[in-house]
Parts: sequence; C-alpha cells; structure tokens
Amino acid sequence: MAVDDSSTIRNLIKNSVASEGWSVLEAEDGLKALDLLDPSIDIFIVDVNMPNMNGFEFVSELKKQISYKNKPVVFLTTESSDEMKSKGKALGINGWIVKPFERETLLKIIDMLVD
Amino acid sequence: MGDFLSDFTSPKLTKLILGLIKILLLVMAILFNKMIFLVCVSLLLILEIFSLFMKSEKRIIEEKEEFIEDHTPYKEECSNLKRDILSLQHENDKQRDMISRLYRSFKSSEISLEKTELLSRTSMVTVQSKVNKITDDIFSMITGSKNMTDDINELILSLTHGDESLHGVINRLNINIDEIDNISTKIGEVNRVITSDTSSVTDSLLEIRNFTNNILDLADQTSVLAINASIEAARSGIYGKGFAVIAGEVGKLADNSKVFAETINKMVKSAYQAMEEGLEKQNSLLKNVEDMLIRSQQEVHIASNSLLPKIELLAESINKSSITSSSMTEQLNSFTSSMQFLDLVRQIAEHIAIISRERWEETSKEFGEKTYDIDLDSLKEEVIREVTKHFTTKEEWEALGLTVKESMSNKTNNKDLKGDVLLF
Repeated sequence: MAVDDSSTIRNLIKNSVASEGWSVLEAEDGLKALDLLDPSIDIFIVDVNMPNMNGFEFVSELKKQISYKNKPVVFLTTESSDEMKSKGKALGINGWIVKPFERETLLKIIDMLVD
Repeated sequence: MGDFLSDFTSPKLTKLILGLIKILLLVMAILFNKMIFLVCVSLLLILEIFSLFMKSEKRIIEEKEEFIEDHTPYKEECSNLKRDILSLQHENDKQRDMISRLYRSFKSSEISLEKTELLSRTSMVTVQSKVNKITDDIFSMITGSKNMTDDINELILSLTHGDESLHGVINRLNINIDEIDNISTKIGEVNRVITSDTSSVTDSLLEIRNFTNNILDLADQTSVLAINASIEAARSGIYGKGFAVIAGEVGKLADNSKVFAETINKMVKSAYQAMEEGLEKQNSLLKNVEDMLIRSQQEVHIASNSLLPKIELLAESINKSSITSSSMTEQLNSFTSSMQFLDLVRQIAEHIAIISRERWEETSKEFGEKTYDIDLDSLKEEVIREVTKHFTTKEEWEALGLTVKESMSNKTNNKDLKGDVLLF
C-alpha cells in the first residue's frame, strides 16, 4: 500500500514495483488508508506530511490492529531530521527513505522486508 | 450724572456740582411746584440711566481693550495653533488619501493574488497530471523495451549456443550434405547398374527383333509356299481341293504370323525407344541432382563461411545488450528521481501560496472593516485586465474561467495536420 498525498509519488511507486510483479493499493492520506486496509497487503510505504491524518498518526492506528501490527512499514518522506527518525523508530516502523528515492533502492528494501 | 460729569471733571468737583444741582432742584421744587420737581427728578433719573449705560459701554470697551491687551500673546498662540490644526488637517487628509490609495493597492494585490493562486493551482494540477502520464508512458516503454531486449537476448543465445544454434544447424547441414553426397554416389552406382541392366534388356529386345525378323522371313516363305501349294492344288483339280483349303489356311496363318511379328517388332521398337528415352532422362536427372548437390554443398560452405563471423557478432551483441539493459535501469532510476523533484517543486509552490495567503490575511486585519470608498467591482475588472494582458495561452484564460480569445482557439487549415497549425 502506498500512502501519500501526492499522486505523482504514488504513481512512481506503482510503476517502480509493477515490473517486479507487485500490485499497489493507493491512499492519499492516513484516513483513506485505514478505510482501504486489507490483510493481503505485504508492506506499507507511507509519507509523513499528509492532510487529515499524517504518517505517524496512521502508523499509530495501524499498530493497534492485530492483523497489521507486524506488517513492515517504511516511511518515504522529505523529512530527514534525526528527531523525526527516532520518533518513527519508536513507533515501530522498519525503514526511513528520504525523497527522492531510487527505484532500485525501493525494490531492494521491499525484498528485504517482505517474507 | 456723576459719572457723566466725571468724564469731564475731577471727582471732587463732580461731587460738588452734583450737590449744587440737587440743592437747586430742591429749592426750585419748593419754590415752584411738585410737577416741575417730578419732571426734574425724571430728567435726573434719565440722565443717570443714560450715564450708567454709557459707563457700562465704556467699561465694556475698556475691559475689552484690557482683555485684548492682556490676551494678545494668546491670540498669537491661537493663530499658530489654528495654523497647526489646519496643517494637521491637511496632513490628515493627505494620509487619509494615501491610506485610501494603499488600501486600493492592497485590494488590487489581493485580487491579483487570488488569480495567481488559481493559475498556480491549475498549472500544478496540469503538471501533476502530465507527469503521471509521462511516468506511465516511460515505464511502459522501458518495460516493453526491456522485455524485447530480453527476448532478443534469448533468441541470440539460442542462435549462438546449443544444438539448435546456427553453428549446430550449419554443422548438421554439412553432415546432411555429406550424407546426401554419399547417397548421390550410391544413386550413381545404382544408375550404373540400371544402365547395365537396361543395356541387357536392350540387347534382349534387339534379339527379340531379330527373332521376329526371322519369323517375318519365315512368314513370307510360308506365304510363298502357301501360294505354291494353292497353285498345285488347283492343278490337282478336284483331288486338290482339300489341299487348297489347307494351303489357304497356311497362307492365312503365315499372314497372321507376319502381322503378329510386325506388331511385336513395333512393340519392341517402342519399348526400346522408351527405354532409351527413360535411360537418357534418368541420366539427365541424376546429373542434375548431382550438380545440385555439388552447388548446395558449395553454397552451404559459402553461407557457413559468411554466417560464422556474424554469429560471433551476435554473441558479442549479447554483452552489449546487457550493458544497455543496465544503462536503461540506471536511466530509469534517474528518471524516477527527477519526477520526484517536480513534485517537490509543486509542494514548495503550495507552501509559498499558503505563506502568502497567511501574511495577506494578517495585513488585511490592519485595515479592519473599512472599505475606504473603493469600488471593488470596477477594481476587480481593472485587475483582471492588467493580469490577462500577460496571458499568451488559452490554458491561462481557462484557469480563470474566462472566455478564451478567438485567436487562441485551436484551428488548422490543413486536415492532414493535427493540432493548432496554420500553413502560410
């Protein structure tokens, strides 16, 4: 699942992973993402700064649900401060990618985190 | 009266005169009658009143002059103050006018800001949409290209390696050519055997012809014999009739034999001819096949000589294709990064718009609710006129919900050309 308020980013993620056989569920903010949750989702790629519900709030809600508690989550964001990264780590996310991302990097991380 | 006199005399003298007048009047009143006394008293009272009136007037004038004299410095001050107030009023008017102009300018900028925000938002939406389209197209192109490259690589690999490669095929061709060569040799042998057998058959046919020729001769002789027998039978008369019949039959037999022999001769001849022709054709065919095989061998040899270096080149191209594939992957990475920078620009533009709007709203509060008598409608029209004079594309007009100028609408004077095209 790709959660980002930018359709450009969501589209880039979708195209980057499609060639490797992945299909992508898209959501423009945390609230919409919660509505679209599905147990078949293997990994979450989430932006931090989004309207309605930001990335931290979304992951916080996600971790409360047993079905999704252990699903890997990676933040894909323009934020790069150590403070933010620590906050994310404390929340239980598995990775932090600072935009702009490279396709190869994203694919490798997905390979590493998804069983 | 005292005061009246005091204007002209000293106070003591005034008192004296007044006293004398009073005594005089008393004497007169006593001497003459009360009427005159009353008249005189009335006159005195009138004089007194007039005197008091004059005194008060005089006092007022004096007091006024005293006042004026005392307050002349204040007057100057007042003049100055008045001048200052006028000046301040004038300043105030000027500032009010300036504030009014500032407010007008502020509102004009606010309207411009709204329009530019609209333009910015529209262009960002359009950019995002086009970027997404480009992304889809490029990924599709590269994925397709990569798949094609992989297919080509696989094909090249199959052409250059393994049993089904061109090498293998050429080798098998050469083997087949050699085998065919062997077969051709064997066919030659068979042909020779057939030729030899045919020759034997021909000889036999010739023998048969000789035999039939002999049969013909015999038939001729038998015919002659039959004729002679018929003659002898006729000579014998009645006793020779039976013999004549037999002679006739023998003659017929001889004729029939001749016919059969001639027929056999013809058959032998045609068989002989057919065999000759067949043999000739067979020889010719085998010669052709032999020649074809030789030519094929040569051509395969030439083809394999020319193909082999090309096969080597194909094998090399696999390496180049792998390099190209890696290069395409890198370019895809680079493209992915670049598209995100466009999105970054969009975000920054949005932040600029938000900051501008917030600052604007803060400034707007300073002006309060006053409108400073500005005609906002005509100001809006004026601003739109000023803003749109910079427009060069129909998208800008459409973003503000304005009617696109006729001159900007798509048209073409050539139906074979798509888009907004004019040929002169």
